[in-house]
Order: sequence, then C-alpha cells, then structure tokens
Amino acid sequence: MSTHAATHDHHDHHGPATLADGFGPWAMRWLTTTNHKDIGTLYLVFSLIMFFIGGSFAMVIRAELFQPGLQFVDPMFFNSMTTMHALVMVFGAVMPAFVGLANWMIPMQVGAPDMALPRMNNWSFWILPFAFTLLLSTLFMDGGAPAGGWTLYPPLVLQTGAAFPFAVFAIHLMGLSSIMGAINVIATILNMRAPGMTLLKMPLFVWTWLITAYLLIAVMPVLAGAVTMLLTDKYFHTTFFTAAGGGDPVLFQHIFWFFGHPEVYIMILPAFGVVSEIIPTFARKPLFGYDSMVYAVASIAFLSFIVWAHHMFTVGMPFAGEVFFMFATMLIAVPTGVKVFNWVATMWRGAMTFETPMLFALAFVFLFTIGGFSGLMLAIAPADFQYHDTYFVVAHFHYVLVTGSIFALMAAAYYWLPKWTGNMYHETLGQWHFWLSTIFVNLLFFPQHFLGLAGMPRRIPDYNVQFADWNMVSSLGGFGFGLSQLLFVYILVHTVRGGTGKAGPKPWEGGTALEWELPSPPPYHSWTEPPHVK
Amino acid sequence: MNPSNASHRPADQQRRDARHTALLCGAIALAFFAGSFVFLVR
Amino acid sequence: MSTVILKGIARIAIVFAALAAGAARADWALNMTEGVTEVSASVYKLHMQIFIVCCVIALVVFGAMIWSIVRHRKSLGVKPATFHDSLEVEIAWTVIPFLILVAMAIPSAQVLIGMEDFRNSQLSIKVTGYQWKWHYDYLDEGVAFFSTLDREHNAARRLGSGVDVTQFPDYLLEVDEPLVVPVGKKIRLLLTAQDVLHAWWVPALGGKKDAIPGYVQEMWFKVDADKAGVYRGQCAELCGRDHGFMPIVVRALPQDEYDAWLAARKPAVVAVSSEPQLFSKDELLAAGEKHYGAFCSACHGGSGEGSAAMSVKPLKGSAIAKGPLAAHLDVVLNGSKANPMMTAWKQLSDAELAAIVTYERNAWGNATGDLVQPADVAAARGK
Repeated sequence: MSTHAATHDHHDHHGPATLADGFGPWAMRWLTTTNHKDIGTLYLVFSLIMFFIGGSFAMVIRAELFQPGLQFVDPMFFNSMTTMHALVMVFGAVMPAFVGLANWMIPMQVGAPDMALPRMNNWSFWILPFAFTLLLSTLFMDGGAPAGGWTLYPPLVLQTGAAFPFAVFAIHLMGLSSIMGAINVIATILNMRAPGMTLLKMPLFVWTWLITAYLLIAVMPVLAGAVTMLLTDKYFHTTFFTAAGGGDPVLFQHIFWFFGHPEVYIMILPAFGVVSEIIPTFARKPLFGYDSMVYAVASIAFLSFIVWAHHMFTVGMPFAGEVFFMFATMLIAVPTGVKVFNWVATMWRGAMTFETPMLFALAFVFLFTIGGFSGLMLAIAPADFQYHDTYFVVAHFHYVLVTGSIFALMAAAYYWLPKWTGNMYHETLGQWHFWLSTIFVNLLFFPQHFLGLAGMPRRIPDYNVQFADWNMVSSLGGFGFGLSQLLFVYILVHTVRGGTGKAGPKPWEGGTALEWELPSPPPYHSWTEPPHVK
Repeated sequence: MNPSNASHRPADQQRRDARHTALLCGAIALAFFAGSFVFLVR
Repeated sequence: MSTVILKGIARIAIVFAALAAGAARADWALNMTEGVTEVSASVYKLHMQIFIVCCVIALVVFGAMIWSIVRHRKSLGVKPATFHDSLEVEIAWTVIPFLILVAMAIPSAQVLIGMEDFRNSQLSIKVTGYQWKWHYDYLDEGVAFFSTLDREHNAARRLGSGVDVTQFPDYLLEVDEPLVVPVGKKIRLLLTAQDVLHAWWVPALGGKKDAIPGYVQEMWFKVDADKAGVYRGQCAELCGRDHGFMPIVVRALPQDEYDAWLAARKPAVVAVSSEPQLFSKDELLAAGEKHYGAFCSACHGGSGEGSAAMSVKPLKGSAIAKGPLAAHLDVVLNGSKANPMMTAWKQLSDAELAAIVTYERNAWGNATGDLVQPADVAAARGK
C-alpha cells in the first residue's frame, strides 16, 4: 500500500506505535503495517470477532430449534441465519484464523525476517473487514440477507433480493484476500527459508500451509467463476444454470463443489499442521513418521480435487460417476488414517503432560476421527441417499470443523500465546475452557447424528415432535458451548495484559522448532540475520 | 529449488525470485478462473 | 422455561426404556430403520456394516490413545522414547485400511447397481416439486393433484400461533391428499420441479432424488407386499421459505384397494374440466377464501397484510388488487417479473384462479365488486 518502510526509523527507540503514542500514530500503525506479526494479530482478532458473530447466528438457530413449533423467527429469517452462519464461520472465522497463524508463524519457523510480499500482505487483510461489512449489511436490506444456504444453489439463490450483488461482491473480495495470502505463503516458503532448512526439514505446520496455499490458488478462482455466473444469470440474461436457456442448475453444483471440497481441506490441513507441532512438544518425542505425514498431506490434497460430487450423490449422476466418486472418496480415508495413526504413535511411549494446548490437540485427534467416521459412512453412496441433506451431514461437518478446525485453532492459540505476548496464560482457566467446551460441543453435535438417522432434514426451522428430545439436548449444548467461549476471550485479554507472569523464550520444554529460539515476545523484526539450521 | 536460501543469494535476487513465484501463482489462479467457464464448452 | 428444562431432564431419564422399544418414530431414536422395501433393507445393512467397521477401528485407535494417556505420562516418571519412524508400520497401516475399504466398496457398488435399475416398472407417476407443495400425476390414468401440508398443521406452525404443536402426532408430516400406490409393484417416479431445486425423500422407502427444474429424472421403489401402510417424508433440498413445510405422505395399499381408490379418484378430475362454469359472488368468495388460505396466505398473510420479514407488500389496499384486472391476472398466472419470489400459478385450474382473484379483489375492504369467472382466466392464459 504505502511506502512506510522507513517510518519506524523515525520513532523513538520503543518500536512500533502503541496507544501511549497517541491514537493517530497507533491507528496508522495498524492500518498500514507490513509486519507479519502485526498482520497475523489483525487476522486473529478479526477472526475472533467473526467467530462470535457467526456464533450468535447459530444461537438464533438453536433457540428456534429448542422446541417444536415456531417461537422466535420467520422461516425466511431462519434460512438467512443458516446461510450467514456458514458464510461467516467459513470465510470470516476459520480461514482468516489460519491465515493469521500462517502470518505469525511461517516466517519465524523458516528463519525468514518477514513474508515475501509484505505490502500485498497488508492488503490481503484489510480487504476482509470491508468484505464482511458488505456481507453483514445485507441483513438490513430489502428482502433480507441471502437465504439460499451458503452453497448458493440456483435457481433458489436467484430469488435473493437486493442482497444478491453485495453477497457476490463480498465473496469476490474474500476470494481475492485468500488468493493473495496464499501467493504470499508459497513465495515465502519456496524462497526465504534459512540456509540448511531443506523442504523435508521444515516444521509440519509449514508443510501443511504450503500445500493449503496451492489448494487456495486453484479453487478460490473457481468459486469466483461460479458466483460470477450467478450474477450474470440474474442480471445480464445469461442462462448458465437455467434449463430454458440451455443451461443446467446442476452445472453450478459441479463448479461450486469443485471449489467446495478442496475448501474443506483448506480448513483442515493447517489444523493437522498445528496438531503435528503440539503433540510432539508435549510428548517430548519427535513426530512419528515425518516423511509419511508430508506424503499423506500431499495425497489428501491431490485426492481432494477428484471427490467433489460426493456432495451431489442425489442429483441424478450416471452410475459410472456415482461409483467413481464413491471409490475416490473412500480412498481419502487411507492417508487421513495414516495421519491419525502417526499422531498416536507420537504419543506412544512419550512422556506426556497435559497443559491446555495438549488437551485441545488430543481432543482434536479423538473427535476429528469421529467426524472422519461419519464421513466414511457418507461416502457410501447408496447409504448417503438416506443421510444426504439430513442432520447426519450437519453432525459430520461440525465434528470435523468445530472439534477439528476450531479446536486446533484454540490449541494453537494457547500454544503460541506465550510466544506472541511474552506472558503465560492462566493454566487453570484454560483447562476450564477446555472441559466446558468439550462437554458442551459433544452435547451440541453428537445427538445430531441421531436426528439425521431418524429422518430430520437440514435447514428446517420447525420439525415433527419425534425429533424434539435430541433437538433440546443439542440446543442446550449449543448455549453452553457459546457461553464457554466468553471464558476464552477473558483468558486472551488477561494474557495480553500480563497473564500469570513472563513466559520466557521456551515455555514448553519439548518445543523444538525455530520459534522457540526467539525471545517472547519476539522482536518486531526477527531473523534479520538468518539462523543456520543443521 | 535451491534448498539453502537467504545468505547464498543477494537480497535483490531473492526479491526477484519471490516476485516470480508470486506471478506464477497468480497465473495458476487465473487459469483456474478461466477454466471454470470453459466447463461450458461441450 | 425451567419447567421445560425439567421436562427435558425427565425425558432424558426415560431414554433407556425408549431405546429398548426401538420403534421407527419413537422419541430419542438413535438409528435409521430397515424400512419397508428391499432397497431400504439393503441400505440399512450397508449402513450397519460400515458403522461396525468404524466402531472396531475406533476401539483400536481410541484404546491405544487412552492407554497411552494413562501410562505414558511424565508424572509417572516415564522417560520418553526416541523412535520416530518405521517403514513397515507405515506400509501396514496403509495397506490394511485400503483392504477394508475394498471390502466395503463391493457390496456398496452392488446395492447401487440395484437402485439404478429402472427397468420393468409397473406404474409411472410424475412428481413435480413446487414452492411449497408436491404435485402427483398418474401418467396414463388421468389422475393428478397437489399434495399440500395439512391446513391445521399449516396454521399451527405460524410464528406466534399459540397452538401447542405436540398435540399432532404427525405434525408437519400430514398432507391434504397423499400419494397412493399399490404394494408389491415397482413404482417408477419421474421427478421434476417447477421453480427451484427440491428433493423427494421418504426414509422408509430407501431412496432420495433431487427434483430439478427443466429436467426429469427417475427413481423407483417397491413396497414389500406385506407392508401396506402410511409412510412419511419431507422435501430434502432447501427450496426457500417453506422448505420445512412441504411433506410427503405415501399410502401403500393392497392391490385391490389401490384399484378401488384409483377408480373412485378419476371422475373428480374429469368433472371439473368439462362444463364452462358461472359462479355466484358468494361461491367465488367462499372458494377464494379457501384457496387463498391454502396457496397464497403463506406469503401474503392471512388477511392480505403481507409480510415484513419477506418484504411482501400488503394485498389489502394494493394497487394491483384494486387496479386493472388484466394486470392482476397476469401477475397471478405468470408470476412477477419485478420480484421472482412471486412465482407463476398457472398450474391451478381456471376455477381455482377465478375464485382466488375474485377474493383478493373484494376481501379486506378492497371491495372492487369485480367477479372473475373461469372463462376470464382461460382467456387471460392465452396472452
């Protein structure tokens, strides 16, 4: 953006501007920073805010589903809530949070002074608040926010009112942000590793982000293409998705899910990376099967491109298509299983301690695996005819995304907070946060497997009384889980303000990656001289 | 890809290499964008 | 709220008794059921097989994890081992899961082949999804009708209706006219949609297919000969505001009862379309109120007041309902170009549309005095 490269040299000798320097300098610092640590912080704070906004939409959903009958919201608004909950969580919470981790950690872990393209990095972030203001403002527009599901299937989505072009534009902006961020990650990892850090010596977190970045540059543009076609269908008389004009609504589904399936791996691979950092540290034992872990992530990423139609088994594909996608989807279980086994082998005969990061990491392995099992069941196409568009699918993806991605993000936060802030978080409060979250999240999502199997469809605001009992349990779990996250915010703020004391460079005795050689907090510019890696 | 980087390449060479990587990635992104429309050519 | 929670806790205490019952639609249901067709039974079997495989793997993996968490702790004074790879082990836990998957893939493909075999069906019914109801057309029989959510349920489900919905055992799963089929016969459904994507799903029958506007696709089911009964399902693809309120009810009858039903059903359709009709004002308004309630009130409000949540302006006092008849008929027949959410209603009969439009033009104080006859609607269709 602006060429403020030399600004900090004109400062006093206390580094980047704080509030003590006045609001103006502080605001300019955060607006124009090209520093990977600052930008990482911006992404993380933004994603936390979005997590609560998306979470509040979920609370509306669970409040309405608490009992049969319609108590609180119009069905149209309910559909907007389900749509916006997903869009905000996927594009506003999970993805930016992982980009925040990438920004903070990749340069430090590869021994680089910053990301390869620091000015583009600034723009990648600042697009996001603008994009989400656009998206969230649709809640107040004529006709309401988009209500056709985050999957935006036509023809239904073309019935969206004034919100439609704003939602499309917001998605384009989010895509641009992700693509630029991914380009930065690739350019940094491929060009700026310290001497001696060959690719197969990089921390696994860096590997998972390298592969995730390739997925991003391949599929975010496809989403952009898909929503552009929606836009032209609605306003410029194209008929990509209208049979009357020679098009096909199912074509959208193919294009969308070509993006959508790699997208879910984009949301989980960095989580695999985080867990692969944490478990060895707290087991005081090297990661088991490092090379296999790298190949497994690469295989998962490759396979993720050829399984998309498992989201569309009921669409009426020819038999050969159904069977191909069924087999390819089942195949992904193999490298994923390899990763789970390797994590357990890392734990095996280690000397474990169970601080909060390790608790979240272990819960991740346990509960993500449960999500993986329901995924394997969903891969069986004829069985999927009974599961598709029911709460069984909702249970599956919330296990992999909440007890998977979100738990990994929380694990990462506890793991690296001492490094980022220089202060230790309050361990007992962290454990409270962990146990409350884990108990409530299972009350929230496990019963949804039962609801789906019993026949409850997705995306309905009201239901037959046979579904009432598990819905009540699920809603109670939801309220509890949501409230428990307030404790997380408290812990974060408390740590930033001093926590329970200084952390030192290596608060976790088992930490082996390069970040633990830097002070806590690390200097504004670290690794200005590259370290030598053996 | 040269596995040992920073100190063995001058800074402007490293910057140039990073820019080339970025441009290549951008080209890949554009190719996928265009490709999503090409689906239509039956 | 607290009595509700106490009731909830009391229900939780009854879980285990209900588990033993295992009835298809019991509270606290845990699993899908075998259904009433051979296909649904094979699907159930596949489901249980893959579930057991997952349980066994879970036991092994979680067992190892729990053992490790208990025994391999620093607090027990354990010294950490240093091993960190093993090619043999990696190969083993790649190949063995792969073989398990192959074992699962074979029966899965076989069941799929069976489900994709559409030959030799004995009855074809065209199913069309609408926002928000189903239309069934018994091809070659001349029987066709809409199937909408039961009126009492439709009233009860409204926001703030004050009705206790738990009094209806089949709440939101009852329709005014179900799909009637014979048992023991292969029924082929030709699925399509009028407006947006829908999906037809009755869990007990064991299949689900999307209904796609502009395309027709096939699905089949054959209810076991000894399983006559009523089976309920719902639309399974988000289709707008009332996606949750367009259920499916299938009544499977022994062959002779089905034949009797079909014979009795036919004349009703023929009678309506034969004579040109002239209705009195009272007849039009009475029928109009009924049809308006069934088809229009979901969006336009029970008293023409519109819906703020959906940005639907009131019909009461509206320029369209009180203005030129031709424009009013055009919007109702062909939908609104300005607002795509107002879809075309030309699939309703001339008599139904005449009654509805008359009602809209005279109710709630609109009082235009206009009477619209079926012939007027028929004439407007041409334009």
